[in-house]
Amino acid sequence: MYLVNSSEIQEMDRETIESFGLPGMVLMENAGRGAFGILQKTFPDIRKKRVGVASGRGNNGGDGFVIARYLSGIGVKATVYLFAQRSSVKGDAATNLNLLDHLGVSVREITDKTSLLQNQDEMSKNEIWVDAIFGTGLNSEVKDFFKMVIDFLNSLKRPIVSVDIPSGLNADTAMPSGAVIRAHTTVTFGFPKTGHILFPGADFTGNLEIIDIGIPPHIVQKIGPKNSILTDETIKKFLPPRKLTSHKGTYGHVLVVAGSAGKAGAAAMTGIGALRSGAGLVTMAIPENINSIIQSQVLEAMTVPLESHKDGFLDETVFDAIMEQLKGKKCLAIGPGIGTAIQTKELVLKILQNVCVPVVLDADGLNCMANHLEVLRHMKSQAVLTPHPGEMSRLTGEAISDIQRDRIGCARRFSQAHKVHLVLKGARTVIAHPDGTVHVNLAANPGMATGGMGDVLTGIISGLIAQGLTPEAASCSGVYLHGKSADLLSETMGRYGFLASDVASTLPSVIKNLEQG
Amino acid sequence: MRKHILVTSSSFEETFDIGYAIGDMAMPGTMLGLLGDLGSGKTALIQGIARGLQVPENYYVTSPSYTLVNEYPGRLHLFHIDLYRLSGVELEDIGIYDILASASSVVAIEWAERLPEHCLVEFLEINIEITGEETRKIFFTAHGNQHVQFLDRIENRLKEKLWH
Repeated sequence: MYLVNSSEIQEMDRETIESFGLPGMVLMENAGRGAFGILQKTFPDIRKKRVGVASGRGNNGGDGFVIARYLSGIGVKATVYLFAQRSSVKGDAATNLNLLDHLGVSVREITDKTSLLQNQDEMSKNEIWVDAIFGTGLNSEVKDFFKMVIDFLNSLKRPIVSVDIPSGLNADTAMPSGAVIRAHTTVTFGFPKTGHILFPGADFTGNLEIIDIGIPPHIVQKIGPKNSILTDETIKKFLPPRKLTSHKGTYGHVLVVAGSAGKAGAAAMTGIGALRSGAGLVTMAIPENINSIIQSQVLEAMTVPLESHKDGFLDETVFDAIMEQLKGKKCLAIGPGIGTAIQTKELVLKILQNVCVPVVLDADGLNCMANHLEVLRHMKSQAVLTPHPGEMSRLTGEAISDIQRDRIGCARRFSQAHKVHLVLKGARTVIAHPDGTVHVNLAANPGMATGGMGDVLTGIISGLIAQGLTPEAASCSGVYLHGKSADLLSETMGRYGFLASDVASTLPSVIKNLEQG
Repeated sequence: MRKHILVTSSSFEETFDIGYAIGDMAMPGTMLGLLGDLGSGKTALIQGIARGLQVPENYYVTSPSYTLVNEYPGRLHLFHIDLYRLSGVELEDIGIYDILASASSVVAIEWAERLPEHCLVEFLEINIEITGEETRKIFFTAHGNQHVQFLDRIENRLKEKLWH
């Protein structure tokens, strides 16, 4: 499902009206009637309630006037509070505002702090609110009078249904601009906007309802939104078809280069993730000092114990051995638990420059190349990088807080600049591809998981690549399946006490459900 | 090993100064768990901690409630984390375990109770209670040897603010 930004949706509206010829009045009518339908569904006893419609002077307010008209049509006592001079309302919104007069719907103009204070008692009597003050086009800070209006509406503690987007929320960054309506439900039109989905915007949005207002598919295609949300349907298209006659080799062979003294667990989790994703074979190239741990933890994998530095990490002396092991492999997963010793960095950089199969690079592997991003440009194969915000900060030199304020933009810029697939982990994992497209994952993950989840994800993505998925398909599917597995586990096991390895073990049933569903 | 002290503050500025003392004396690996209602002065305290850690004045120290993690360079690196909205896999996904394992930084966490129990064993809990318009009671509870010793030094430094 597309995830659009404010300029894309404005462009779609404009094209629909101007080049397709659907009148703006029709779009406004569809939007208002659709929102009215959601109000009825959300509040089945709305006929008995008093409803306040808080409106601005623009098209968002116009949608609000349509809603007020339909509410009055079923006998609801609705009052429109217009936070602007009536004379400033223009176009389709003005037409819809004038229709309200014929129906006897009360419209109160509130244009300054004094009139707001005078109306507060009356406003408090409304039991449900419709927020049609600002739409997705808001591009300035909400302050003074409008901040007072929004703070007052929030303080009433009544359910608020926002039209298109909670007023004051930035549709592109998901950040509040000054003051924001805290909505019970948001009814948006055409497609979800970035601001509804990313945090903290998702907290202000409440339940999100999407209404089709009639933007034709060819116009959507013409605009070509760059971002989308991962769904079951997206992932089903990516998953490899299974053949009854297949044998282990059909499903590819992963080489995992990971681990160091004291960090065997991360390597083991990566191997387990790869195996559970359905990779036919997994070979673990690890320092010899952790070989017995890996052999006992990941029974189904083969191990290649490598002579390690005296402090228990891999160094550049094992480069040739690793290149030898890469023969016949379909994917390399490198990094988890490998450490960041200077000698290890040299090994990792040298491997990246020479490897000819797709690479999944995570954790210490990312930290190893933090100051050597030029290596990415010299790679012969495609790479998937899976940083969390802290690792991303080390890669880019940007502050974590700046990354978090613009997760999509940050991931996209990095992916395009370095021609890699970038999985920026976090609440709403963002997956950016070199062609500029971005996928966002919505998994809720309520469970209290232990460490090692990231290592499992690295394993899953590499396992999927080994099975023939493109790095794009594998990074999206890996993130999605990993999140789904954690969700399924917290449903069945409760919030506490499941392990990263349990998430890996749940993977096959999640894949089966997807394939059969 | 545990230790408690109680300190009072009568203004935003005083809360900032208490924070400054904490930041000034903090050591690599100092872990702070911050508790307190909205408006209790957690941000004032963290601003003081940042300045005490010599975070440059041009860094605007603010709440991480929208960004989840703020990071400031100083005498020691300061991470300020808000876990309010996070759970489960997301904790690892924002890199929390790496931050907790970074023995060279100072870490201040709001909503630390969202962490799995074993993750935060040794730390200094700071609970700010609103007692009046401007006045606050600040409860310190140190868990573990290193943080008990740290609290000893804070106690010594804040003698005149101690509540007996």
